[in-house]
Amino acid sequence: MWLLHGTTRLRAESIDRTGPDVNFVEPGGVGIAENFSFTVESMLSRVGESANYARGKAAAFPNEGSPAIIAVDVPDEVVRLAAIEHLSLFAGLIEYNEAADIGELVRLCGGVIQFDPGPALDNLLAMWGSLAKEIRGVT
Amino acid sequence: MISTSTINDRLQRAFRPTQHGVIGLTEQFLAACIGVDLEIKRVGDRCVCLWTEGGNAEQAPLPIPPAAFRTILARVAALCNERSPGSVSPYGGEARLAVGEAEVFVKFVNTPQAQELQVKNDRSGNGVPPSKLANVDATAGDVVAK
Repeated sequence: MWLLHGTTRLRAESIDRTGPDVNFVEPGGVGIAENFSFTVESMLSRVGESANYARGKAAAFPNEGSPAIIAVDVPDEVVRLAAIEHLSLFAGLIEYNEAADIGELVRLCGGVIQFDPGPALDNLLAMWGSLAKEIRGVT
Repeated sequence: MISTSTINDRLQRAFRPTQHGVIGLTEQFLAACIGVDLEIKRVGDRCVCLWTEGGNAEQAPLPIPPAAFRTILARVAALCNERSPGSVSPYGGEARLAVGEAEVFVKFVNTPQAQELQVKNDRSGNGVPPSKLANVDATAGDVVAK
């Protein structure tokens, strides 16, 4: 399943090399990122498209190059794990079935796959070097 | 004036379990905000709801952590942009939202440094042009275009 993360060209290249960094601190920032989010290619995102996030980052950090999307093909089981971990953050307010179709889990997440520190992120980072990835430009 | 107990009731209504995921939870929250002015912000590792009653600052904790609150903020941004593309950045902005038959004014920040959401009754318009009006159908639980 291809996941998309909108950012600046500079950050996309860094993420491509080393993977998502939830301890990343933006220039001038005071806090770490804490988590890392993707939209899912070919699935409706109800929290905004990656291209818009990329444009926003590039506008906020003009020294980091043009807007870009880092796209990565992540195994479904890792996406599923991330979705379940994210839904669990809502402390029971979002009802879900862990055995549900992955499309249903993504839909409940609003179309965003968020990796917080935990098993899903650990899995993602462990396999990052072997995953198919590409950096896409954003017009 | 809407009392603290009423606002607490509304928060309980806003944060009740839903089968409609992040979308449903966001819509429940916005619907519960009709008629009240409040602010939700991250304070340390938790989120709190703030409001003023009789000149006194009141607050109540939210039952979700900041990592979940950020997803709701992202949905609020998307709602603003679904009706009026480009009206807000995913990282912050302000717009009016139609929630059922009512309107609320939202102002938010969603960055690693800060996560905040203000919801106000749209009594004054707050300078937001009608072109920034987005619509939430609180009864159908989905966004509709007028």
